[in-house]
Amino acid sequence: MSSETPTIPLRTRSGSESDSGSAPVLPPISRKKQAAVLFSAFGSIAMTIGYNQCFGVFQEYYLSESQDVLIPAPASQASPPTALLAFVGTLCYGLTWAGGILVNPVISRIEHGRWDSTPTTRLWRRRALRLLKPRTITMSGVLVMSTGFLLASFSKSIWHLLLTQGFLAGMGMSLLYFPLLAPAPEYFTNHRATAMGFVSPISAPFQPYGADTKPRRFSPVPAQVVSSSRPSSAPSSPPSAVAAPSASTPSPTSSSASPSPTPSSPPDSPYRRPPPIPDETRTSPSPSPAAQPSSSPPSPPSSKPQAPSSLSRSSHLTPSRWANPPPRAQPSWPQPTQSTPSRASSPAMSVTDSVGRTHWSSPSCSQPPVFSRSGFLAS
Amino acid sequence: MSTTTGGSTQLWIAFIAFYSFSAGGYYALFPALIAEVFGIRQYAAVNAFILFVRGLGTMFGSPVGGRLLQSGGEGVGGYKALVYWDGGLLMAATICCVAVRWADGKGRGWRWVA
Repeated sequence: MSSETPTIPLRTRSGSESDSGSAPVLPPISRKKQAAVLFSAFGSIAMTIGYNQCFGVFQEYYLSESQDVLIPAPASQASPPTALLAFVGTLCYGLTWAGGILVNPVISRIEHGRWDSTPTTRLWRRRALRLLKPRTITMSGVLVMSTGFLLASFSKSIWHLLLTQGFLAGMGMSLLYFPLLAPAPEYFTNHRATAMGFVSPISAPFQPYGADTKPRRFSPVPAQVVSSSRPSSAPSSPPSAVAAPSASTPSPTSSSASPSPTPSSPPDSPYRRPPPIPDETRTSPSPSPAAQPSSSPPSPPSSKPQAPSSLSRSSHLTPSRWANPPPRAQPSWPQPTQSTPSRASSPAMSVTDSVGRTHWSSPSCSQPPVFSRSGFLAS
Repeated sequence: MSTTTGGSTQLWIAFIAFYSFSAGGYYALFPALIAEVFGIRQYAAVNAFILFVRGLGTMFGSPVGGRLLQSGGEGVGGYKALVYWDGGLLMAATICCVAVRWADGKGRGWRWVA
């Protein structure tokens, strides 16, 4: 599942940036921002990886004669439980790495907007999904880690330490560490290797982001630029098509903050995203997406047929798509084959040339740009 | 360790330098290798899985080492079993790397610079 998640945006983003040359559109990031990213990431990794490397200090203290944490002092026993004490440290270290298999899919799904709430989704789950952002993941990691260390100070025996300083701190560190790996290199273009070597002790996870693939997922660029360049179904689209929807498409921040200008849109989207739109459509699960736009005000040119959102969303989830991903030229979401009239949307939709782009850049589509949702390290 | 073994500080430093020089290649080249072998699209997933396996090894390697060290005996000689175990694992890792390189070269034709 997670092997499939990064496919679309990485491909489309790299294609749109390298092929259409839309990279100069992105404004430069200020050096103050870069310095903030650098030092915050450095501090976080020093707290996680740096602590893990230094567990020998703790172990030496726990095995010393003068320790007053563990009640049967390990030094006073006949054979000190060295292996068990070492397991406290390596459990933390191991969970810091191994938690990535849990945290990374969550990160990539948030990043690519793969988690949507359905009309049958319960309210608490919708709220939870709305809260699930990299920022909250990182902060919860800090909280879990701090709780682990706090409880470790009250622990009396080694298994207490295993649970607190090992398990809780390790899981918290994993939650803190893995969201850092993705966005940090995207803030540096010139001295990326130096910056990443400064940020990370292993510095390696950043290397595959070469000069040609700069995702800048979380970067504080104008969101409409990114969002319009992101979902290009035709990677070799001209830059004018990239810039055109950004002119009049509402920015994703505004579309998520305020109700998007499509309450008049037909209730054809049973799958919708937590933030945007008022709820009159949520009570009516549409039986068939093709039958829906009948109630829609026939909006301007239906030259680009709107992909019914439920269709695209459900076919996103078909296992056949996971089994064999399509070739690069073909967009992996379905091309809208039905010539249903597009819903009422901003007239900027007619500017676009490619169908997939139009579908994605629509503020009322089932997949609004996700960049506003990941308010991570970006203002 | 240098204090317990006495006059082998040079050996210790040489070991550190050589091991770090070797292991640095592993650490630095793993993501590039992932991106090349599995493709950039699979990068996050494969990297997560490899880090997961690394975490498993970190979790269970040290207790095994501690157990070996406890059963090893007194003094420096107690590290003998640990050294054998570690050396065996490193050899296995080397064999695995060579096997991966062989399998990669078998599919695409051998070149020294892949």
